[in-house]
Amino acid sequence: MALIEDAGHTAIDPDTRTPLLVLASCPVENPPEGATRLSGKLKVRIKPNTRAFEAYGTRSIAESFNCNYELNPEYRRPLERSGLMVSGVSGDGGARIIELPPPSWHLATGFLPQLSSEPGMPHPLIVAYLEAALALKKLKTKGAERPETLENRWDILYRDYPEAYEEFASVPYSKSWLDAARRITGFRGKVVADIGSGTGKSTFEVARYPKQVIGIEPEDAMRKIAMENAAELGLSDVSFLEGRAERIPLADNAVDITIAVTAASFYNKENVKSFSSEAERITRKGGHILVLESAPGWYGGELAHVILGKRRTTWTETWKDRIFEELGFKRRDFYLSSDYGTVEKAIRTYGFIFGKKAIDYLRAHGKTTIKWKARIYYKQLSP
Amino acid sequence: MKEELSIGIIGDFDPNKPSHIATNEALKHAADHLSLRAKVTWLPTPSLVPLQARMEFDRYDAIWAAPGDPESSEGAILGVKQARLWGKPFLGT
Repeated sequence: MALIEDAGHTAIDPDTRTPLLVLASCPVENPPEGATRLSGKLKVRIKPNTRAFEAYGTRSIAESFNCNYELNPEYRRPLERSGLMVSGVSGDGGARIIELPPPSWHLATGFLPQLSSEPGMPHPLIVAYLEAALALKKLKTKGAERPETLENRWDILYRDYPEAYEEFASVPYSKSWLDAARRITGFRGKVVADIGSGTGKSTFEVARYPKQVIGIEPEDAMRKIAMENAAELGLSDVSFLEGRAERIPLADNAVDITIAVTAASFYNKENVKSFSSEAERITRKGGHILVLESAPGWYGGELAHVILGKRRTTWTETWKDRIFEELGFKRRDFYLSSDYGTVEKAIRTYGFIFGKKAIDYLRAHGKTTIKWKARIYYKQLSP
Repeated sequence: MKEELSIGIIGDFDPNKPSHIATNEALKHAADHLSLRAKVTWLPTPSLVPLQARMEFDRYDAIWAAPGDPESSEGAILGVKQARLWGKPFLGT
């Protein structure tokens, strides 16, 4: 984002040192007495692949101007470099439509589209604007049937809101856990068990490489979505079975690699131990076991201290490190960040899970990305 | 029943300004075209200076910045910023 300090408008302060908006150069020849500098109908060229083009569906239109000011051309390049798009330009090269890149629908015009709207002949930009509002509203009313947040009740999330989990799991990450995992062992041509596969996000991601992936998930609602997604993706080498980390429904030495990706299966020492012995049973000699978790103190990512009301340095899940170490696992850390695009989306997905305190923080700070520190516990079984 | 969209307009409504009247009417034309109802609320710019007022933006499905010189350019700019921060569809004319 370009930062223009004290951006000025020469109508407000003629002597401003940062004249972002200035008197329009004179594209209208011999304007009538009393008319504004930009007045009457002017041709505007529309840039393809923009919100404006989506709305107009044409490269050139005539619009009604009644304006004295325009974007100072000197500021155009820096603004464009920082993401602002000039999507409509008049014959003299002046910026007449500007917009922000998706996912937002933010558009401003130097003309008055409302002046050329008539009953039965609405203005295409205004129609597109209302369509964007309607789309967002529908997304939210779907969410209105559910509470604002589950306040970290993952059990309810898994059981009753698998779509919300799916949405959370689908947020783009700066890098994949798989990149880190592949540095520990290759997946190509292998048979993999994915424990706590949820709606299948990790299963499908890993399915790009191996021969076969079997997802194991106790929650019916999650497994149902996973199977539907597998069918939709046309993946025949992926299957899902009912089962839990402590009791995996697979034969001894059935797989080459066992993974558990933020599987929420590890509440205490006992169940880490039962997972570990089950994983060792189903994984062949020389195979790998990989467990991906948030690093201790990074529950909910960088907002851990907000969500838990504690400082990261004074709160760590060291018991988990200790038990995995006892069981012969090594560990490796890496950072990633999830990008929600808009604050609304962050509140709807992340906030829905992590609670009111997280929502207030996202809103107050306008946060759209969350940084995470992730930890992989891994072990190679002796051949 | 028709779906209703709530539109908040940042601007100091002046019934003598044809562009303001046209804004209300154009929203109706577009809403009719989409078989929607547009509920329009004008938000005077000086009222948008306190944060409390901008927190009310949550009730609007989209924000519009009206033509004409705002009474409070600070309020107008803060309003536009809020719309962007919350990812509200936005049109400035």
